[in-house]
Amino acid sequence: MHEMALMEGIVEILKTAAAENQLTKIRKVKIVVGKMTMVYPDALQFAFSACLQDPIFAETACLEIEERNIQATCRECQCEFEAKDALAIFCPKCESFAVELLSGREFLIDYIEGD
Amino acid sequence: MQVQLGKEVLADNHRLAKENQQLLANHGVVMLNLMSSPGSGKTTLLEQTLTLLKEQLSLAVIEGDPVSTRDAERIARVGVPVVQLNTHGGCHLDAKMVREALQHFDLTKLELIIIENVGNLVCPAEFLLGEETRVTILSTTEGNDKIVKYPTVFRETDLLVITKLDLLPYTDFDLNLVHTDLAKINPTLPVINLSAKTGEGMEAWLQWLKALVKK
Repeated sequence: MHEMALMEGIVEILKTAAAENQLTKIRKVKIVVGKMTMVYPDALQFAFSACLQDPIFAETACLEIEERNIQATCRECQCEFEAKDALAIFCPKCESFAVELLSGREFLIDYIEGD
Repeated sequence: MQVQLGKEVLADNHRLAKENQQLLANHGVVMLNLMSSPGSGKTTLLEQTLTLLKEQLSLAVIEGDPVSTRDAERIARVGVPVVQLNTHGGCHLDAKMVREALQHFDLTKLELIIIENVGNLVCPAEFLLGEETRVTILSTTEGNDKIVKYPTVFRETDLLVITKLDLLPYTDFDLNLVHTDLAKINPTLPVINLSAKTGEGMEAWLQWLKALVKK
């Protein structure tokens, strides 16, 4: 549901980008989704398949989704670490919760391929 | 041919949100984004809040709902300017809708605008509206596990209000567990417990709002 609404916005961005780069057909879209983002890759994939009827896409167009891990730095001891659990993001060394997220909140269109 | 974009999907929304923020800053108006599940008591809390504050602050409300004008009608009865936004099934408000709603207010006469977002703990967390502050509501009848299930909204909020405190004895809700769970995601988050129905705890909430406007 939510991913469908997001995908409509993505298609608009793709159409503008295609026009700006003289592409008439998009063959591939690569999207980056952080694991702290409320975007579910499977639902996004489904929403993409529903948008394929748009003439901007080649019949065989595909969506690649790269999930990005949650990386953070500790404000107390400055160590950099990867958080496995989106709920408990704390420093593995000093156990501080005062952390700064470096990645995991991304939601961006990395690149498109087309002709 | 490959074309590098590196474009944030929500970039346009974030840009509009920044413009909203600037517009409000120019008029010295504070905007608050109120988020929660459906049925947590947002509108009841607003009715009581506006009734108690409307003589002291000049307020307005933006109501977000998939359909209907029921909430706006309830707020209008309190005598506060209100705009109803219908998302037509959509699960959240976005910055563009809020921009349109702002045009209905005389910003030169307002101090505080409260947005009642669509009842939903998922999508509203992703869409900046131009708010200065986010307040998330959790009601005692929803159960403790909301914080664990929807960490993003509880991580990116400035205040947590626990509502329906009067119903606490009839539920398994554990106020201590809220603090244990928050310690994992947002340890410095202030929490206010209240019941809009009995008035218990309302004073702390009103003081928090007044401090926000005077800041």
